[in-house]
Amino acid sequence: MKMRAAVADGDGDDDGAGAPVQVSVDPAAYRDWSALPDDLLLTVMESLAIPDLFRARTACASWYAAYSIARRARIPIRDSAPCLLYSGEDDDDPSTATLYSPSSGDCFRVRLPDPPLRSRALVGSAHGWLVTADEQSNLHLVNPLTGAQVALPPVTALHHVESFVDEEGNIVYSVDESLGPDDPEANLPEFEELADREVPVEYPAEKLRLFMYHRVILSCSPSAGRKCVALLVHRPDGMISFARPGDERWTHINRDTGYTDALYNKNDGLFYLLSFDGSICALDLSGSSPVARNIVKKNTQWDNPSKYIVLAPWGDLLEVWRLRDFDEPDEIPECSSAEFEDRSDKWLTEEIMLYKVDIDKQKLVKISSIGDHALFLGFNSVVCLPTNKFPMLKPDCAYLSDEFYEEICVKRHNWREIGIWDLKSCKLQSLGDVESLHAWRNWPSPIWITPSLN
Amino acid sequence: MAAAAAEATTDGGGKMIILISADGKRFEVTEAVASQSQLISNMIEDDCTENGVRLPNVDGDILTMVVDYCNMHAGDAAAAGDTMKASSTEEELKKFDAELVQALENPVLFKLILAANFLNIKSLLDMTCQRVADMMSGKTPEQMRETFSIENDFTPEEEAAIRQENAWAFDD
Repeated sequence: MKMRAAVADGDGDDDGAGAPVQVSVDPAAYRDWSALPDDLLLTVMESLAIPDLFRARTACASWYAAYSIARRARIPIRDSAPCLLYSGEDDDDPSTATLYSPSSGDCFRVRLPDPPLRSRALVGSAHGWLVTADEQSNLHLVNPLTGAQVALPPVTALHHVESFVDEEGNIVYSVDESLGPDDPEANLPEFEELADREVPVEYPAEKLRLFMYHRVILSCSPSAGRKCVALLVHRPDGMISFARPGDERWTHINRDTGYTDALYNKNDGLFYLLSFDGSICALDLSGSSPVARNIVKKNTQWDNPSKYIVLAPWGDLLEVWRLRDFDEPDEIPECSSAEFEDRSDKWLTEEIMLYKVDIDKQKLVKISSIGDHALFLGFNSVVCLPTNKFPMLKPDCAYLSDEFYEEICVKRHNWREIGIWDLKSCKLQSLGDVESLHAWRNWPSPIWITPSLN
Repeated sequence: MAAAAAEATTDGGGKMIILISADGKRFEVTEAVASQSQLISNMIEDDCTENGVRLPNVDGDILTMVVDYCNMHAGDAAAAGDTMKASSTEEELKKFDAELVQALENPVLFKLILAANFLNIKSLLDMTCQRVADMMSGKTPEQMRETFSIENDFTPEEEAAIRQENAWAFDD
């Protein structure tokens, strides 16, 4: 009897009465798994966790070929420029994140470990890791590509936070928001209103994360274990504390000023912190106790703009000031929900100013351009990249996402300011098709992150 | 015609068809059970299963598993309108699926994947491929080779080059 393909030619008429229809013969003798047909191997590769996928590629040549296809499909990015990470508007799975790479135009999805992404607050990113706060307001570092996760000490391990259980059985945090007694400025007139603050201030467990974390800076990937230092700029007033993965507690660093942003310089191993008063401090956390040295003196009273401190690839220390204004809604319909009211609020960037920090002369030098470079600003650790290495990135532009804190946290449903700010024309451009094709949810707030397998 | 035949039988399974394995074992199953195989479903549509379907690349022991799987999962579609039944079997199905793939020796799992692929039973193929993925989970390339009896056909230079390679995409 001749062999026939059942699907293509299945009428069975010419097989003769009584003979069963027979489908193609392909004796599947098991030799070893390298004999698995390519399309099936690909199915396997597509269901692997990403670290396993990368390890599988060195097993043998046919696995490497399948890996290459699966990798291109699953992680289409081809360079190490930042991606916007967010929870997709059309995404039903609360654990997945969408990543959009403006340097390649590609979009892809990854799955994060529990707790689900959508239940977390994103409070920072660095070295390919997200800094997230769970519903108890505790911080976890998570690598969205590898799924690796590392806990930082709980929020109650900060020097000024305690927890108790209220009458209804809910966890409540009590935060001492008074200034330190040895702070000379605490007695100045402008701090009078602070003295009137209720002390301590109580927050429901899931709310504290909205107010506590201003910036989180990592010295390196948390996969380096205890070598990694997490520096926290936090409430109240930009206080600072630090911890390493595995620490029991956060170590508070007592300073006479508060900080607005910080960076880690891997070249000298120091953190650089920008204060609200314009002073800059170099902080060495490598020894047994912190050593801080002011390298730029206090120079401003004006702390209205969001300020970022950036180490440019050409070696200069920069300050980036982002002036934003609150765009009040024209009218709010009666009977609107709180969510709707939030949505009508907009914080809009009006101007971005660039300064070179001249440490020798102790002054800021205004600059008008960053030339063939692009900035990534938000509540991530700021990235500055040469656009000649990433041709799809626009030169002399700042890729913006919202900042953390007020505009994101207090009104979590409000409009997100995400786009490309042209430093020359001072206009915000859209990120392009991704905004309509793969729109983002407001929560957790989208963040820039440079994917890494480390 | 098909509708009339379906009415004449019980359990919502429609009429019976015979599957014949490579080693000549015969399995009598309902059309509803067999239709989970897209291949057989197409053959039923083409009305060419009257005299049985011979599957010369599926061994009897593998086909036994496939038929067990399809019998177990035939309820999925049939019970869709009967929520009580569906919810009571969901747990059982999970347990059944887990037990089916968990204990398989490598050659059996390999053949079951090929059979699921050939018969085009998507849920069984996904499940068996996921099992292979789970077996690779957390292993070094060496351990993967060992687990799956795979020969390293790279030269040391090629292997070194590949290990270097992910630097271009991700490292700082």
